Amino acid sequence: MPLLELKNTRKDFGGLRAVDDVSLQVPEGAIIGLIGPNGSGKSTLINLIAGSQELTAGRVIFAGEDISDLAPDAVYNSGIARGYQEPSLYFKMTVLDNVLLPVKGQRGEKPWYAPRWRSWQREEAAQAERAINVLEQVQLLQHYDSLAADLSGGQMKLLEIARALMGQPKLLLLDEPTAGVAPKLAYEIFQQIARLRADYGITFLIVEHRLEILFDFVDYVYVMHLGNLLAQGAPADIVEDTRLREVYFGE
Amino acid sequence: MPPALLTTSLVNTIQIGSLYALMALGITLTFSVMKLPNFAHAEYVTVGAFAALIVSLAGEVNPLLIMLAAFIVGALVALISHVAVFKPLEGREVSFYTLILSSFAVGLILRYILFMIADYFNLFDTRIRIPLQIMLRESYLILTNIFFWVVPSSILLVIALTLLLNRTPLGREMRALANNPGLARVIGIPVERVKSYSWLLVGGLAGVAGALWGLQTAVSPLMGWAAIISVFAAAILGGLSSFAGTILGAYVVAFSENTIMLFLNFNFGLDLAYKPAIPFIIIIAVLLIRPQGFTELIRRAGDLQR
Repeated sequence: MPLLELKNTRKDFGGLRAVDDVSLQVPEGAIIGLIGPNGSGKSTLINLIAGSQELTAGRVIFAGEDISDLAPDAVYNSGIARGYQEPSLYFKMTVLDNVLLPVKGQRGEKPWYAPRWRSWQREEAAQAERAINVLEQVQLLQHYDSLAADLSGGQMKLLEIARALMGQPKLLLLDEPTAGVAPKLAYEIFQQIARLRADYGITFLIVEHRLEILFDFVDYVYVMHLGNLLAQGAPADIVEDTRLREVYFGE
Repeated sequence: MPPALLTTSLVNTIQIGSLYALMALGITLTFSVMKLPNFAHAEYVTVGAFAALIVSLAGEVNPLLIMLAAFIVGALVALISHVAVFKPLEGREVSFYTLILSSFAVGLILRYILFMIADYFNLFDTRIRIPLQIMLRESYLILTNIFFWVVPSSILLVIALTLLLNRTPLGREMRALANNPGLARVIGIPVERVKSYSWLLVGGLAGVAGALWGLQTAVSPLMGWAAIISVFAAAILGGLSSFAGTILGAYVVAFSENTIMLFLNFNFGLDLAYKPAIPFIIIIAVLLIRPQGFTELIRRAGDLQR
């Protein structure tokens, strides 16, 4: 059984059909690529899975549960975290604060414990240690005390991933993790993704434009065009597929 | 201006400024975390004062116990107004103006419930009963134990709130909610719970401010309302977002209302009846000249909480 399954999903914006009858499967532990030219409906599809947009038709099944009608916070709680095309961080807060935010169920979150430093200090220290491990993993540890606003574009993307990791998701949706990132760092981001899959067994669904990098790391690729699934297959097969060139370059 | 008048007015500035700070921080917090300029805040103060008054009438009660009672009652009333009014309205995605008006309405309802209670138990113009002691008696200055209750309590609470906001997991989540509420929801912050907790804190602090206010002057159902414009002036001076700016604003307003007012009265014969106009003048001047208040100045000084 796949971890995530989309069954005939459709999304209409007024008269425009942004996603048309798309079905796809994401097996557990896989890194799946979702590509296609601008306006092909990739980001909409991510939004539909994350619950930030409502489906017009179809179902989204995650870990055997139907999550089609859940609100974004409920989707997050079911184990799906996401990164955004434009980095969405708390820019006025420190890097460490940013990764500590998703931590839940701490005593210090309650007003009757919060003033009693001793009652939650050990718990907080344990979480901070986890946060430090995660930051070390994505090579942001030396910036733990800087404001998120002071990071480079690529570091912001990594911080988003680190924050998602703190919530211990099963599936991570990434919308162009290398957008606006220098080429060298872009490759490093994908190396991080591969390492995270190996270390934590996290499953990834990644929208990406830099195909030359993406194809080195993904197990399987879905190609979208004008809201439809145009092709799917292993990266080696997709590269050979003439339809890909047609939609990207109009050849 | 005679020195005795000056020192007395400065003592008043400190005492009233500390109380304004305590109340204005609640307004700033509600505005940044809940995105609501809450005029019912005035009534959380009054409710706290009445809770303190009723407890104090039981006999010789420790002022700390009085403040605790005011905190609990203020916190509960604030939470109820959130659950019964503001939360359902937010759920319907009403406009900002509807929320402001509804906060006026909540304030009015609370105020007249308090009138009914005060009338029924005959509580008009009663002071919170704690034994009065003269701590310092000089020709230029008299200080009572009231001063030593009001000022340190307010300052300690302001410091505690600042620490809570900057150093605790709850404070971290509140700051996140203030900066970007939409993002908070999708990265796993329990938004509704954090909001409820914030209401408890805001209402509780307002309640304590009411208890302290009732130590220095008679408790009346209108007392919170009478102070709210001065308190809003303080919060607006702080740009409705900066804690340090709000505290500074509170003392500036209190200084204008006490020392500057007396100075103008003594030297230029300005009638003391103009005192209530001062916060309005401050609000209009700030909005015309520096709508961002002290915020930018303080940020530039690198002093703002991160």
